Amino acid sequence: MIMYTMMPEELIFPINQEVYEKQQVIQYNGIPLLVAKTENYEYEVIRVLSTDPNHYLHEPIQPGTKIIHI
Amino acid sequence: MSNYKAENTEEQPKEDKPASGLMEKIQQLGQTNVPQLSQDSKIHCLTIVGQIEGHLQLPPQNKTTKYEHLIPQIVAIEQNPKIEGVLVILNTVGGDVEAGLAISEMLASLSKPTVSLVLGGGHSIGVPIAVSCDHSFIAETATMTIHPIRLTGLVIGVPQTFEYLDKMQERVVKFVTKHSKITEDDFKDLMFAKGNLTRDIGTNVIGSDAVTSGLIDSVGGVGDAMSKLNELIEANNNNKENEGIIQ
Repeated sequence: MIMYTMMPEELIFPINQEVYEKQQVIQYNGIPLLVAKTENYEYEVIRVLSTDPNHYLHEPIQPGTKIIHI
Repeated sequence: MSNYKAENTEEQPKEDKPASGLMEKIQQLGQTNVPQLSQDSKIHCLTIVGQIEGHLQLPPQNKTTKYEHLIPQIVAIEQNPKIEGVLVILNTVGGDVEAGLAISEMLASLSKPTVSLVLGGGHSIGVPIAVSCDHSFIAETATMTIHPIRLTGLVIGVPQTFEYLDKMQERVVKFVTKHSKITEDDFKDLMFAKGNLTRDIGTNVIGSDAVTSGLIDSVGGVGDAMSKLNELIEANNNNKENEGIIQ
């Protein structure tokens, strides 16, 4: 099927609510992080959202690492 | 594969954790070690990446700049006395006009020195964000697409919708001409130019073209941007000191 339309893809194929719920922004030791839930209280860091360049060098929150957050 | 992994963890339970941490680091960053800096940074860095997200939340696979997170960060930068300057790094395709203008207005009204650097692309609504800073840089290979604003999706088909869109465009043009050296006529010429973009109107200005048109202040990279920011911070501090003497 070919659909030619100027409508945004999200409007035609709505995304499941679960996909949105998987990712969230949390404050970890005062650093805003975009994380994805993996297990109970374990999250995987996806993006650091801070403006402080030093936070990007902070070893425990490098993207890809797992953090425990309650 | 999974059997092998399970066996391995049973044999060496202690070595599993650092090894997987290392693997994740390589997967995410392509390297295992990142350089360490001193703890106190007086310059903060704001990154505008991917799409600028407005009222509609994009699916998580899209890389977005979320205004509801950026705006409080700009407020925090304004309030924190330890922060002396802001470097804005842009690599964006554009996005929501109102969210983009909100970020631009916040940056333009910041009392601390700001320097912007366009790397890769600062398209569409990225243009007002780039010009909103005290001094703007563009990398030699970076581009900026200037085009009329547009809307996708459902709109109410009344003449007022067109009028509203026209006014929205006027806001973008006013902001850009107010915060850069480009004249309104020149900017509109670039915006409505034909034949530059395939089957579309607008212009794609590259590096030095953006500087010659007066849109961006200079061509440069992160080194130039940082030295300019330090210069502006010094001038700002001297101003403050002089004011103190008068009082």
